[in-house]
Amino acid sequence: MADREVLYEHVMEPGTGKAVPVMRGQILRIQQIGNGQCADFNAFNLHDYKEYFHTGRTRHLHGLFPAEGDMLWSAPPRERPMFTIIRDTVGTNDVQYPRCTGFLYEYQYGFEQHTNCHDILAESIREYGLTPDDVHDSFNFWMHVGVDPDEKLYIKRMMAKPGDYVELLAHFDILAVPNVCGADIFSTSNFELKPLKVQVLASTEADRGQWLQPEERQYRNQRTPEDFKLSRIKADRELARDDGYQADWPVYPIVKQPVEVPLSEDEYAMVEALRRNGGFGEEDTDIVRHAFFSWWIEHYMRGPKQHHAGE
Amino acid sequence: MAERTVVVEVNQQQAQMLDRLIAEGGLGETPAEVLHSGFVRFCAEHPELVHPAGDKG
Repeated sequence: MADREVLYEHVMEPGTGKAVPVMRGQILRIQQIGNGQCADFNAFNLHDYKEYFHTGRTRHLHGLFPAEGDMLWSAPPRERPMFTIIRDTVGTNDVQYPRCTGFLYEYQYGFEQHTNCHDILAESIREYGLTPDDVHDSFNFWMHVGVDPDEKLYIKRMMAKPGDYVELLAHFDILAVPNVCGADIFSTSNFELKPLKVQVLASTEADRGQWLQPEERQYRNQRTPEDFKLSRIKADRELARDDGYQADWPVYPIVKQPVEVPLSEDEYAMVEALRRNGGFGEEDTDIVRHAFFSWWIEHYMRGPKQHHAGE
Repeated sequence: MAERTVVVEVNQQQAQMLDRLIAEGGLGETPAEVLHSGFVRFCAEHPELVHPAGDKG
């Protein structure tokens, strides 16, 4: 890990997110504290929030699983690189799945209220005066996604370990908005919610020399509304922090309780077998949790399951 | 007779799910019993995972 000055640091607890200004040339680092937690991610031009991150263009230019060396692009008509992923210690990211929502947890799982990325992102960007309608499709850091033989997407066990991190170098001033993904009943984050550390780092001259892109548009068709017939947007584009903002997360805090599950020797042999499989985790608790929720998904979850138990 | 105990931490949302399963009946009357039932049923329904070819266990 390069030695860079830490300009800002925040720990996102489960159920929360954080809107973080990252200025041109600075580096956003998101780091695992626990054993594998997905971070959903939104990003807005700090001086014109109508320019925001676009999963579609990013997927088009870098494939289904963007990783180190790839860029996060803004939406048409601007289509500029917002960030470059300059370090990614795992390399499993997703730009297919949309953010999870309250509807999803009610429809598929029967929850009236449940942690979900849309609501957490909405509450995070409220700090800068943005609304739930401004939340957009997310970049899903560490979300481990596969494509099955029927060409359907599915979600695999999270691979990230404590200390794993991604670093993103900003190509212009950006409001970055990571959040702790709310999915605790799927393998997205191995059926547990864990905190994530967010830092803003000063870049080195070497970082900028290797990665920083020009801020000005490089192609004629990297346009703004000024290039169109109707350019006036009925909004104040400059983002400014609401000094009176007090976070009010929909589901917080997340409180865990231990449940002691008794197993016979024969049943424990199944734990050992699933450990050897490799797709259920390493610790006894991870394996029992993964198997139980896999069973629940197979029997109770409505709609497309997109889950494969085991390797 | 249980010979091993595995401690699984569940949060309040996951506990709700377990409570719903308890209310439905058939899986157990406590979160521990429901977790145990689901685990055992999963293993029974996936012999390819717990008794893979070549695995004598």
